[in-house]
Amino acid sequence: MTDESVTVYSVYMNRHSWISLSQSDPRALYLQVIEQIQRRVAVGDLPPGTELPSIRQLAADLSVSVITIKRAYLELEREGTITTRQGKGSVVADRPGLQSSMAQRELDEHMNQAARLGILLGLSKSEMQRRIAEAYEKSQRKRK
Amino acid sequence: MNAQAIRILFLKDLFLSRWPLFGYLVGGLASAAVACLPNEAAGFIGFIMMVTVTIAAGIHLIGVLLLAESADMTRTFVMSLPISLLDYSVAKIAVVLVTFLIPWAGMLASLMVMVFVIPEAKPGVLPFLVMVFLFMLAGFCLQLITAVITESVGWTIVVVVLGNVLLNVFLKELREQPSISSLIESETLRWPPLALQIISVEFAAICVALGVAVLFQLRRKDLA
Amino acid sequence: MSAVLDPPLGAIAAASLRGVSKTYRHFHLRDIDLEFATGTVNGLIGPNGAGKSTIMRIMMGLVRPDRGTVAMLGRPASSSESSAKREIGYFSEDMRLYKAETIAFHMQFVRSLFPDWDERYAEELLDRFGLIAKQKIKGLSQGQRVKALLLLVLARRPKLLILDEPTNGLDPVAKQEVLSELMQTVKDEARTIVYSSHHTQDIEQICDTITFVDRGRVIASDDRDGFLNGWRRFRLQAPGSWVPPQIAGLRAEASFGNLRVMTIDRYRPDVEEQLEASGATLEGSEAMTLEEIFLATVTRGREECRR
Repeated sequence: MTDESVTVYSVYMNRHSWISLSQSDPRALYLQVIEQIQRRVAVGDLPPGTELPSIRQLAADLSVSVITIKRAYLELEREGTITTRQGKGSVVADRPGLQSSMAQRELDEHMNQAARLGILLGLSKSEMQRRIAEAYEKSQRKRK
Repeated sequence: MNAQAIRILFLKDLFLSRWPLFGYLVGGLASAAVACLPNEAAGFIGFIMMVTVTIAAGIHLIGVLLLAESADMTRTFVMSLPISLLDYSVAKIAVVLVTFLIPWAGMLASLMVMVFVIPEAKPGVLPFLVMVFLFMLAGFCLQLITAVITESVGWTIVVVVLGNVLLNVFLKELREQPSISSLIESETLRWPPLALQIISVEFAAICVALGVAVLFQLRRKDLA
Repeated sequence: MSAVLDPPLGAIAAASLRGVSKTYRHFHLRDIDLEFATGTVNGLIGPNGAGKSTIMRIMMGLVRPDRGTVAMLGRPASSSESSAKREIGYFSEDMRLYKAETIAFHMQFVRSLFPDWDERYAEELLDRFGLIAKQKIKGLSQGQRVKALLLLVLARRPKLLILDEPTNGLDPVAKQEVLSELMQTVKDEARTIVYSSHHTQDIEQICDTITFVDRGRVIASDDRDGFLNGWRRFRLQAPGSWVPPQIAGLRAEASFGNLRVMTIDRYRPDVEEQLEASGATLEGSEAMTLEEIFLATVTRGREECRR
């Protein structure tokens, strides 16, 4: 990463303000980083081509381990949200793949958990479907 | 050995001991002045004061500069800096010795000057004073190696008390030697063979003690 | 040590210990083998008295091991050798400054021994840590004392930081300030931190590799994600006659009626399937916190010792 880009980011990131991690969030820190970067990209705060801070810079700014940020960047790269060029740092991809495999996997995991609980409570398949539909509508109303 | 590091450590400790050092220097010079008053009682009191200041300075400086450093864990801080054990030991022993020598030499030097300056004074007393002062210096060196080896306040005090007792025995023995006791009231400065022998033994003891202190510090395995 | 974090600066480890042992009357440090790659933050976790501090003192040459070799920044650690210490910053919880003197006195003392002392950074740290140079050490609070010591360490810009319990006894604000300042130093990938604590949360937050120490031994050492991904806890419903499947690292932790709690330290995604195939019903499969992983590792290690 060049000196220039570091300055650019330290101006608008201003330590901690850009991404906020929560200790009480049960998900691993790297997942939180991934999600928040995805969200920034999705709402257009980080347009395609925006340079991201270097792994070490972001780790220092968030006071988390380098390995956490490295893992988040690798994952974001794999699913196409960002691209990394050797020695040049990472930028937001031209067409970021927002239908992330990460989120898909997380959804699957929640679904499995829900199904397991449903079986434990002795709910029928149709009852489960009804409840999911209900939850879906509730969330949709909230977003509006 | 890193001369620069030793110099920095030495100056640091000299600075740390600045207040006690100043106090003992002033106390020592005042005692020497009292000892030179033209009055026998004053002379005796001044002599006792000088001995007291010397003993107090020895204990205090060893405590502040040597024992406190391991007890207060400041040595861990110092040894985390780019300093080798040899640098540390040499600087430490040198600074403890020098801080003791400052009031010690201040007293001895002012006595020497005054013996020649004051008309009524009897210069013959000088060899006696030198023997006593060297005895106290040797005693201090013994305390120093005890403190270095044991790092214990208790043992150091035992050696201080022992040194004090020996000093009294030494003074008594000296006065009972005709060749020495005759010096005290003598108008002329003479160095009888016995006095020279005692002085050389004292010098040798001082050198051995300092050597042992440095060697022991170097053989130490753990510093923290 | 770490697959994700290749040492960026060639093969030279910032610090390594080989077969290091040290015997005290009531404590043995046994066969410590550790390697810390350049550019990483490395955590040592262990209960009080586990040997973390002794390991660090040996690394600093303050304690001479009975056996084994130590290399720091490519040079042997030794009490007669001072050159390696020029690039190492050591902080230990039980380290003290001169009580009667000011922070400024200590800054000047340390500066005189380090040609690379960064005075501007030192001033910055004074400001950021809320310290006043003219303050005497004896008037400082515990947190200020730690910050003053860290200032003296950080302002000489060491390549390797050895920090023994730096956040012990700090309030949450001071702790965060300290952690954040430490992470600033590893922005430079030539710098390495070895950090000990018995607070697993601090270690989990900033460390890339983690080593568990208990009773004078290294009982586990891996990169952070190796621990966090490798361990899982399962809650199962299984009849009394159920025999757990043979899966490497799978262990029963507790049982209550038909409920079984199992942990595994070599988790793979197919473990749940194997468990269900063996006739148990999976009620829950949870990731574990570093603290739980540490406790489980210590318990397993002690049991193995006893056997």
